[in-house]
Amino acid sequence: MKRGKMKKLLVTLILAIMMVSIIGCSGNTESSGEASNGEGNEKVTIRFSFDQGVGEPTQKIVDKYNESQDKVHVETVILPQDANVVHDDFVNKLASGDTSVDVMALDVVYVAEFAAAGWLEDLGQYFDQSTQSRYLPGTIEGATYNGKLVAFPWFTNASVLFYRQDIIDQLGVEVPTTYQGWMDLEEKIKDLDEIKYVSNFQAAKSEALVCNWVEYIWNNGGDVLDESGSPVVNTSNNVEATEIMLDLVENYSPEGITTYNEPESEQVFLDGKSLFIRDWSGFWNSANAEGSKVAGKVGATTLPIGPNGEEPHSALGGLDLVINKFIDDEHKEAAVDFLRYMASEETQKEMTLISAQPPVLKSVYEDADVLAEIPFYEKFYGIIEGGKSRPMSPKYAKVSDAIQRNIHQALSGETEVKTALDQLQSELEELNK
Amino acid sequence: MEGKVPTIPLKKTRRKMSKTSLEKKEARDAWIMMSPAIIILLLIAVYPIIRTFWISLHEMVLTDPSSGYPFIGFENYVKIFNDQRAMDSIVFTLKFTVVTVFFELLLGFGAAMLMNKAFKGRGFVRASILVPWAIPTTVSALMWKFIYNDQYGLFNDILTRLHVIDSYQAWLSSSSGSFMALVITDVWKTAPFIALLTLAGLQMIPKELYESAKIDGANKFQIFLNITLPLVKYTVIVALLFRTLDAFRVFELITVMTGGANGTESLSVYAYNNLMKFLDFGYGSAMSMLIFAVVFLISLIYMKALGNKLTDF
Amino acid sequence: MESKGASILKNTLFYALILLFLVAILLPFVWQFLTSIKPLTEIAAIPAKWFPSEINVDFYKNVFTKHPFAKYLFNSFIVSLATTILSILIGASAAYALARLRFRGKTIMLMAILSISMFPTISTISPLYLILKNLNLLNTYAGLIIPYITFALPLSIWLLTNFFSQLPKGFEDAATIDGCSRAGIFFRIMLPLIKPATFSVALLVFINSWNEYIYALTFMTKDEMRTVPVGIALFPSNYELPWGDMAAASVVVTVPLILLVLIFQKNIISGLTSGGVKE
Repeated sequence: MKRGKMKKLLVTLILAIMMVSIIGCSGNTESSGEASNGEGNEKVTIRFSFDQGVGEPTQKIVDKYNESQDKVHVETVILPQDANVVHDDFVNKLASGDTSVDVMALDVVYVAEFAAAGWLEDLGQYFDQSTQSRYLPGTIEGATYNGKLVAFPWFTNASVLFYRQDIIDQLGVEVPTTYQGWMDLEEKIKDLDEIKYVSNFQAAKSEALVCNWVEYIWNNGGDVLDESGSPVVNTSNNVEATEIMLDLVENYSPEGITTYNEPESEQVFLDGKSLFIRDWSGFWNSANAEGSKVAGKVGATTLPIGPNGEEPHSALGGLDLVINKFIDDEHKEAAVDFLRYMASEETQKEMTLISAQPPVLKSVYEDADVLAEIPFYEKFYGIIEGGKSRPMSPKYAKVSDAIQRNIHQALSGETEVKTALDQLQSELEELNK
Repeated sequence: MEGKVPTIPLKKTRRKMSKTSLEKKEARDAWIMMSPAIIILLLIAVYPIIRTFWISLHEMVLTDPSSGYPFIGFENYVKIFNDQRAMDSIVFTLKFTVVTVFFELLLGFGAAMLMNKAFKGRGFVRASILVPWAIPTTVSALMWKFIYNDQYGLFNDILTRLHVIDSYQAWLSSSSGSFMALVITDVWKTAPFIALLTLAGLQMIPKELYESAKIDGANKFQIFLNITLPLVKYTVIVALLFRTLDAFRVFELITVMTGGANGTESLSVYAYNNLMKFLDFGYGSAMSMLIFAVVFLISLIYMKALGNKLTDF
Repeated sequence: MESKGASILKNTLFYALILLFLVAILLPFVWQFLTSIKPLTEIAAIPAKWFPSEINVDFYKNVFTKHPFAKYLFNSFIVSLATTILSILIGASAAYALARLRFRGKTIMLMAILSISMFPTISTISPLYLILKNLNLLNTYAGLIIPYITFALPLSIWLLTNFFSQLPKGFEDAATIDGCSRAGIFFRIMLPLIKPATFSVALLVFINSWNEYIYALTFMTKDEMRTVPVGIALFPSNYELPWGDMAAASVVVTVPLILLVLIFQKNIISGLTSGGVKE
């Protein structure tokens, strides 16, 4: 009697769960039906995962590809614009040998890591030497691990020093090329109402900090690793460079700069409060967009150099396309076809035009249409050519973490610069063993 | 009446027998009633724990597959205790937990007491207290980060208007500022949790008790001590238990607001860094197990505080 | 009795406290709301501008046109509702057993239920992804509901056990004498008696599911199956950090929850009025 009622309860529960699963399943079949419906027999569906950062333009490019041929259909899996989230999602999937995603857009700094883990398909056989040479060498280098091409560059990026052309004109000075040169302008801007800070960049404890810091190092004749790959972070040039960075943080930049990533720093510049901002090249569009207070008043130049620097170097960023090693040959073939499309001249050009992301194909920089649309690229090509990659290593995450912690402590005033760099040196040496 | 006399001995025997079988039946019913919960928990929750424990006994760095991921016993666990950074994160996490739970209790309980009275607009107030809890953590953490912004944040704006500070501060740039910011944001979001549950507990106290106490001449304080507190104690303790466990595992709030900078790296954040950033699954899993162990410990402590009140019948 | 003066003073103090409390709780949200209706240029004005000079509904329009936000809301609603109902049913069932029936191993059960579901989420993602994949539950509602129920169970079981245990002991015996079965007692007497508690727990479970992010992100990869928190996370791109859109979205997301509370007000209020005990 009681038992019966108990069973009833259980049955109701189970039924409820089943019902829910059925509702659930309808969500599933709906979408997988789409791809296999209708079109040609041998259509292979591959899934391309990338982040919302360039979501809209990429979707357009993908749609175009799908329409242009009927052998491969690409489904997009868009992730939020958060490098950590994207990285983790890929790791979770690849660590379990998942084959639900075929092509991924991977940040350049992760290529070595993923390659070392054995997750990336070797692409050397699909893109020969002569093809590779048509692309920016820095990007090809960044897609190579242990001599193998494990990724193909999609678009690149480098940082630029944007500044208020109108203010420079108003002050009647030349655009400074050294850190000291910019700092000297501090006196002059005191009289101006609008500009509160000479300097502006990103110093939050994040990857952005690493990009910023290595630039200071490179621009003062130093480097993170020497030719043999051993860490050399606490040389006198590097100490000097970091001291300059600290000086700017403490005396010439917005007070909260050690909590700033790109959005916060950009806000300050767009409000007209800073004289310059070091940011990725795409900021050019935002700065000149409709409704921006500084539209039309912005100039772009190379990063400044320090007393011991000879020429400026920007950090290279960007995304590479990688193919999941675990998928079957049919999907691999389809994926390669898609990659070839993405790397083609036409697509590279179009992507640049609609997304404001710098192309990896050299010839696009000389294309008349592109230059007409983005005249800024003429100057920018020099910057890209002189760009350097952050140290490439499967342990990059630990390297980056070590740099972030120690440098942020120095910039927050928690440790002395020399101490922080010595600490960083020993941590990197540990990692190198 | 007489008709029942001969049946009494029979009934007595039957009752004696059915008492034990009644108990057995009760126990069986109990397990049946608990079975759906048990099944789901076994399927979904236990497997990850077992897998994580297994991984924690190996050296497993994903970027080094050639190592073969050897079995290393408890080496990863020993490593934690020799890792200064892990120790620092534990200290910070404990500090954070104690401080936030304390303020949540104070404010949550106070708010519940306020809302227990019938007054105009009580419904609105009750709906409002859920607002902080209702906003997704990622959204509210971003919102608060914006509020603490050094250039145009609300926090600076209000404090300046109230003449508490002279100029806008960069709150998140120092370790004390960050700590304060994190605590305020967390308390704001979770005091409502305590308030809501305490209120439910308060609402279940029969009004007759209050009435008869008043008739007996008890004053407000006595009523609170002798009626309210004892009857609501266990609800509050359970609410606190959950809050303590959540506070100890704080993760999203920190990654969004400070990224672990300025000494705000919690144990969960460090575990995450090891697992997902450094791809050291072995070490990261060991840290997850450590968090699990501490959670278990905290639960034990709270269980002691609850005595057997929950399950005594 | 108190004098009228003292009474007025007390009332004023009381309402002042309530007001202060309301302000502290709602201020950030009100700020979000105001941000969502400000014209674009006033969002990050310095010093902070409180009231918009004109009402701007563009952000709200954006929320629904730039993204399939209505679908996200629908998905969140289905998942959260199912999770809540099932968690309460399954949880109350277990809680009743723990609180009112006699058997051994209660403490262990409670401890196990609690700690198992407090296991760090990050370590559960990979294994759960595997399980769900093998059961073909990725991109299905069930794929989220089942893990959500799992992690809502400790809260509902612990709280409901607590509330069940507070009910006077006489009920079962009285009901059994009246001929009620165990299930009958459970559904027709016990559950209704702890209604305020049940609704409070249900609300908390609903909100937790509504706001869950990491599983929703990992297990639902198709855009049309996504839930609200993931939807909002997809707003920012390289081209904009749309504070306005996000503020509008968070208002849109919070309002249903507030409505739910207002609707179920009465159920959270009532205490043990005469009904239960005297019967």
